Amino acid sequence: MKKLTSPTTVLFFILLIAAGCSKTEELPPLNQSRILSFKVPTADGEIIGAVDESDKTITLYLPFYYQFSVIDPEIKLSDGASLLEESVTVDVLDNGTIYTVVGADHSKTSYTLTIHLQQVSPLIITEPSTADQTAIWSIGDNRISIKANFHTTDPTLIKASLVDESGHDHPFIANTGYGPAGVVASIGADGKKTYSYGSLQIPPELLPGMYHIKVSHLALNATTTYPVQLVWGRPASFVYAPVTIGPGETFTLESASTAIHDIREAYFTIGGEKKMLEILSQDTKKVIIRVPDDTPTGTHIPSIVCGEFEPSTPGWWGITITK
Amino acid sequence: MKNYNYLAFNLHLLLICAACFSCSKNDDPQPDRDPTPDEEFYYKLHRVENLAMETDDDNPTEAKSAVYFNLATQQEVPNAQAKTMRWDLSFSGLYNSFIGGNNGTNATNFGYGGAGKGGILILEKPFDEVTEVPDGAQFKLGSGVIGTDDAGAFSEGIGWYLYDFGGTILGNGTTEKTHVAYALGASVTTNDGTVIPARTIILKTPRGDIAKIKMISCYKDVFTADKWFKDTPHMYFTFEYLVIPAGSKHFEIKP
Repeated sequence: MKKLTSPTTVLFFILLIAAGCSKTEELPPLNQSRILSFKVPTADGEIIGAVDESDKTITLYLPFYYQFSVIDPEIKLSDGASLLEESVTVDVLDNGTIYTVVGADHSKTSYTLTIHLQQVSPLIITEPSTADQTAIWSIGDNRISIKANFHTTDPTLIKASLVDESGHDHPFIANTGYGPAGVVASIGADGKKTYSYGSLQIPPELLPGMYHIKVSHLALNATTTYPVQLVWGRPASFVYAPVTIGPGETFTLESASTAIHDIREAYFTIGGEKKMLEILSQDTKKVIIRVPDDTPTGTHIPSIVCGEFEPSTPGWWGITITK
Repeated sequence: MKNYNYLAFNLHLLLICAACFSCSKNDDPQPDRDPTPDEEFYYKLHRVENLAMETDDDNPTEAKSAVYFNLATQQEVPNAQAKTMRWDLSFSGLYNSFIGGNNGTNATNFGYGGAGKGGILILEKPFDEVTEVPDGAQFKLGSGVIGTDDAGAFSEGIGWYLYDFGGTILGNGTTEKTHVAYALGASVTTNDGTVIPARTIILKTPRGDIAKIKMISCYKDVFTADKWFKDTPHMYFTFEYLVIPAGSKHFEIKP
């Protein structure tokens, strides 16, 4: 027993333990082609994507309120590494974007990006029609608004169309003579926020019939349960285009909104009398009219009569006839 | 002979190694294109000529889609990238003639929601005389906030161009001088003798750099007022600018 506690023995054990402690386990070297961080800068900071080294994925949860249609991430790589692909923006609806990192040691690692778009669903349209009453819209009308819980004020993120009875989509025109379509948010009587996507035009080339409204906002889609009825209407506004022409020459009258259809008369009102004009051609947007040779000089306001409607006229600007 | 073989062997080995290295160089990855400007971009006078906008004189009241422009790359940026830091100024509104910066905090800005920290203001001072960022500069954060000048028609404050609707403010009253947009990169004197000083735009980019911009012309290939007429091809923006890094104050050209 004495022998075991002798200074020599103690020293032996200390050295043995010290030698045992100094033994180090070599960890496998870290990959030099790693994505260290993946961040999307925003107005109020950044959204951080989760980089998972076990399955080489990047997962990004993207809240709807940023209203991003693309992301432009800031990617931090291992020292000396670079991305094989050019740094480009990514559509928020695209999943499976691959980032290939090439390390300083020429090793390569590929990461796959998954974007989880956090939208408020379902998308619900406020129906213009009901089971008992069908809304009637004029073909070409450019004051159409669609209400829904879009949860965005960015009109570029919304798509809207009319779906005919054959199932064909006819997109609304979102940039009319009154400017581009916009979105206005308002609080309803029920306290809920509603978004009105307005200044849309019904394509003037559509035919009368029943159409459903279809909208989409990024990954969400909705279609109305009840259709609206499209009918021919009375043109009420025209593209400002005063011209000066001579007798026998032509001018063009172009509707700014409601489609032109079935023009039965075109005339100037001169001294309280109708001066009939010759209709050379017409489509849903415009009519080309010829002025008779015996038209008096002066500025005359033209009128057209479409179907059974009252006459339509620009009202305040006219066609100047010179000799 | 033995020595000769030894040398030849080593020479071959060297050549093979050299060939291997030269081959492997082609496999090196190309660096990804960083949208941030490099140092060479700053303190230089840059010029853009004839930046074309979509124009339809048959529908003069119909605004076209906004155009987003990157000062460093001198390239347009796709509309889908409006909420990114990849563009510095936007051209929007009628004839795309209203300019704004890239700001993520202003709900009226095309970059709303993004990380842009830009803004814009305009000075009644010639480009060369603007030597520093004004103290307490109040940048406007919305889009389309600098456009038609008070001295012309359809004015919206101090603007970068004067719109001569009737051709009588700066024009000679003839039809071809109607509807002319006079860029105010240089001062002009109206027909009633009023001197309109040159304008200089100060732009804060989304990353905080500061640019001073001289708008020179809206017309294709012509840069002086005597060559601007109603039917001269438009809108083709020509402008010059100088950018200084974020936090800097003095505009100067450095070699």
